Amino acid sequence: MTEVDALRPLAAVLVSLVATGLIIASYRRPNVRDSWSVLAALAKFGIVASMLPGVLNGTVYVSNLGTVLPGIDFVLRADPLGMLFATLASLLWVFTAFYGIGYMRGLSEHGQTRFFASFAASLSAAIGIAFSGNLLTIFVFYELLSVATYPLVAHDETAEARAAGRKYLAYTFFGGGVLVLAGTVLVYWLTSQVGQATVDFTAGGIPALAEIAGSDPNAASITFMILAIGFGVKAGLMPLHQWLPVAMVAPTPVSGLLHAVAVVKSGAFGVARVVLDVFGPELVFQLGVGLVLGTIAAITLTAASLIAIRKDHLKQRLAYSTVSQLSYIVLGLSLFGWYGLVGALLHIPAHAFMKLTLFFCAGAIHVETHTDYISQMAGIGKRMPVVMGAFTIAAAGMAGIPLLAGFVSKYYMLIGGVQMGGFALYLVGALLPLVS
Amino acid sequence: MTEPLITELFTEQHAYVLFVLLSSIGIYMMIATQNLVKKIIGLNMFQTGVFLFFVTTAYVVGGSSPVIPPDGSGGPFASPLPHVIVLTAIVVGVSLTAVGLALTIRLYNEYGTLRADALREVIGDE
Amino acid sequence: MSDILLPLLVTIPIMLAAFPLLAGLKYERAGWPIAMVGSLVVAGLAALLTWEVYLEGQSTGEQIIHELGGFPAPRGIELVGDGLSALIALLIGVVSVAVLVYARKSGPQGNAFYSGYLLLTGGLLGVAFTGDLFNLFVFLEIVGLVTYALIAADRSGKAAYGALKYLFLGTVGASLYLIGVGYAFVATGTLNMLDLQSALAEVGYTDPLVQAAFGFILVGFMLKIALFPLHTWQPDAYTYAPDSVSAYISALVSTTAAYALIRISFDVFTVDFFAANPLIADGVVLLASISIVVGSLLAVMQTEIKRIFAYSSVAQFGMIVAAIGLTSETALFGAVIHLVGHGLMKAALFMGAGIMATAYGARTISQYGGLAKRAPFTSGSIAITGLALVGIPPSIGFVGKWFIALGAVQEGSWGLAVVIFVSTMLTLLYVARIIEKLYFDPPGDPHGAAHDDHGDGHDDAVDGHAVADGGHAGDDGGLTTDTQTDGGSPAETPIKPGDSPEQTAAVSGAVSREMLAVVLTLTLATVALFVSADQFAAMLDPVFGRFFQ
Repeated sequence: MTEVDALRPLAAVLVSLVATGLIIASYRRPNVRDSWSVLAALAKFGIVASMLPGVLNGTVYVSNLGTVLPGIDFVLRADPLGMLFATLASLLWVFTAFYGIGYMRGLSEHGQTRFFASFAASLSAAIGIAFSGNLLTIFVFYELLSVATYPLVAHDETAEARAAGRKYLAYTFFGGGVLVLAGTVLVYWLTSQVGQATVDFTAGGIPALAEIAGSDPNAASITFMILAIGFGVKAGLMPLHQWLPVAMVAPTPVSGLLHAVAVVKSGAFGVARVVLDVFGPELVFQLGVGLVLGTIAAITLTAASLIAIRKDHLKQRLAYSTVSQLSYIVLGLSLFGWYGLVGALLHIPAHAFMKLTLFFCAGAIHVETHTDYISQMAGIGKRMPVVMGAFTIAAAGMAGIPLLAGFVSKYYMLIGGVQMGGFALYLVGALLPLVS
Repeated sequence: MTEPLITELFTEQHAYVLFVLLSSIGIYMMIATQNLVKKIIGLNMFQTGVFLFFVTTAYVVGGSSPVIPPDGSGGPFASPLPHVIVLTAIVVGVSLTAVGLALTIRLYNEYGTLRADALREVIGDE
Repeated sequence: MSDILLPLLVTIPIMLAAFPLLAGLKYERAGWPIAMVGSLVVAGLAALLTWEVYLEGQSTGEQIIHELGGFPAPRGIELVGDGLSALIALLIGVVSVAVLVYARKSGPQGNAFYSGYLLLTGGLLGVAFTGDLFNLFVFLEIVGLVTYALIAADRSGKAAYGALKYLFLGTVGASLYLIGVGYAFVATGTLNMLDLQSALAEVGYTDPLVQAAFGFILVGFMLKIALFPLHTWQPDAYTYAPDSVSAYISALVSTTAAYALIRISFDVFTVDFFAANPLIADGVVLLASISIVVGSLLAVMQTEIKRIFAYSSVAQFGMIVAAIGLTSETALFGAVIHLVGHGLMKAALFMGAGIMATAYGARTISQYGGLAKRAPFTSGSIAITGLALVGIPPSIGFVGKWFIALGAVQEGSWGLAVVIFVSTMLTLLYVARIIEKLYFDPPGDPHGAAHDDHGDGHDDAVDGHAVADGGHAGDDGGLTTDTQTDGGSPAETPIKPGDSPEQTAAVSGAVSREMLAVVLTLTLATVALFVSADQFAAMLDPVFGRFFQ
């Protein structure tokens, strides 16, 4: 892999930050303001896409913004894993921008400037997370993501929305500000004991960490759990998932992109980074923490699916489904060797597309029928055939029906489970039929 | 064998005992009384105790006052440094008393009372 | 010749302090320009000194020392300039200028106020530079006296009460410190800090006299810094003082006291003292940790904004003193960064709160409802600075916290590490409350403080929708600029039926553009200083080299 200094990762992050300012400045002219959203989305996707060929060939684009703390730079690196998330988020933002404009205008919602400005800022943070080159940078953008998405969650300004916002803030800052920070400090401290302290993402894991884990496995295990749970809060691992269903009070475009795609995915992405680039899969397997994380994920998976079945509120059901699917990803990351990892990472975009479709359908239904409850939606297939058709296809994909995206990722994870043998196999075998 | 200790306390270290006594009485006054002026008096007393401590440390057994005769002779002298320190500290204490009393006058003009508990209630309610 | 900067920095403001009063005999409003000249000179000289110290530190690693009156130490008094004191002096200079710009419109007018302001600046610089323990007492008392006077500067009864309470407790604190100095003097016979370093080592760090000396000094400073449980003067003093005075003293007075504690702990008593008395070091960490937790919890329970910030200071200084107790170089580095950062952040927060109070009569949390729409820049500054205080990057608050946490982990002080990480949540509790109120609550909540979080339920749900749909149907609810209000035309601020009587009456003060500019600049500085760890390290390395050899 050749590393190339480039401005494009930085530009990708900044483009929507600039848009945030422009959106706020054009608050008086809705058409101009909304066009900034669309332009920024297209520009961002353009920049990210332009890096795609290079990254697929093995180049890594780096924007190093200088040393912030001793031994830690503020660096953005567009590597394959990061590109996966970034391409996904920026592509889906293009769609969501259009959808959001239509949705907000359709409902004549208040506070649209704040809404779109926060949206742009959140995407900035999400791309920042995707391109982060070390634990500190990802922490910075993680916190900024929480700050930027809070106004979206509490958008309605009702008591319920405010309470949801408070819960959201509490959970995400606990996960990020407390746990991820603690984990980063611990990684820094551990690596400093065997040489130059570092928290950089290194493919295959930081070597110094592997070294120290040999002599002090407990410290390494605890650090891993802290980091994994810290990121897992955003990914919806139980029992810290409570914010997700509650946050469904936000407008649908928010629920859709942010909670089905950007926010929870950044949590899963964080876990992926920790497993793959901080500790490395071998170390995770060696320490046995993979099993612990996998068990938590498996429990979440099952429990969330069961709860989802019983929910009448459509968006809440989708929310619990998200929790369950994300745990699938975490399960794959923690347990299943090469196939499992591929399956898990593949499920990230697969689930994103499917879930977003489902949420957009839900939103369309809401605008059309002004109801959120499934029991009140009888006969909607006839009224909105296109929407319900899309819904069906997406739902089938979630279930893992062959020929759809969801099937591929689940298939890979199944193979991975089989390959790892033993306990992992039984876990997967037991869970697959239950899901969806 | 506590007896020699106590006698020593009162014959040789009486100044330190007095220091502790004065300071404690001063602090007690500040806590116990509700009258603001009395609190200020207590504060002064506490500070005076501290000054007494410093002055005591200046004394050298058998020493004379710290003035060197022109011919440069003379036995052990008491140290003038703590005296200087205490002079400065007294000045500080006086200024503090002045500011404290000025504030007390302002409080009395505004609320008509010198009692700290009454003030606490009134101001807490505002 | 750079050592002449030290006495200049201390004496210029003190001497200039006489002039507002003198000039006031002839000119009505001579106070502010004189004070401004003084503050600018101080800031400039401090910057110059910082540069000199940096150069000196790079080359010889020595401090800049000036002997007052030419009397040599240890009999004479020395002024010492090294990386640490130069940083504090720079902070003092910058904040003086900033608050003075703010105070032009907002603060108590009157030549006496500006005289006091200059005296306070001079006193603080004296604390920062002195190299003699008793001289430190004198300057601490100068600072204290002028602070008591300035707090009561707006001539209200409440301010006098706050000032008097501070007077009692502050004087007790200073006197306890003096007792500690007395003990150290009795043990060694010298008062010069550098001299005491070796003298105390000779006496032995386990000597009860030395331990008692440190104990008294520590308690004295705990009173001055306002750590739990000796903090009780701070909420009243900060809340009842005029807004500009609150900003100034919250940023600087406790900060210089904490600096003095650092200086005495590491230059006079040195790390060897703590190594010989692990119980004392652990005790300091424990007390400070309690302060962190209790301070944040108490802050959450308050309804007045300034009170929240005052209790927040209790918690933040708890973190700084905890870092002192750790006696780790990393933690101390974080403590100094946090000292400077907290000064800037608190100044910005208090000044922002002052703008809200002056323009909208908003002093309690419930009165802050929905103010973000009417004052976007001020609210934004308060929000950003508040988040920086929580420790969210990029900001200087994060940098300080990182190093303190790292130091705690390195020393194996897991209890403290957990407390520091959890303090993020605790600080968030009260900061988020303010932000939520500003941005997401309907304006002019007439139900008052009692219903803050949970009782809002039904009424506000109705209000919220009514305002949201009806009030903003045409307008898309965008943020309105408040430049009209800031330009000083109070007629623009609409008085709505939901306003309480005091709000209507109070919405008459005007807010100048400079006040807003100052708050914005400080906020930007807070964020920008995220990358400053290197600069801090360059200044502090020679100092820490001495502390931790």
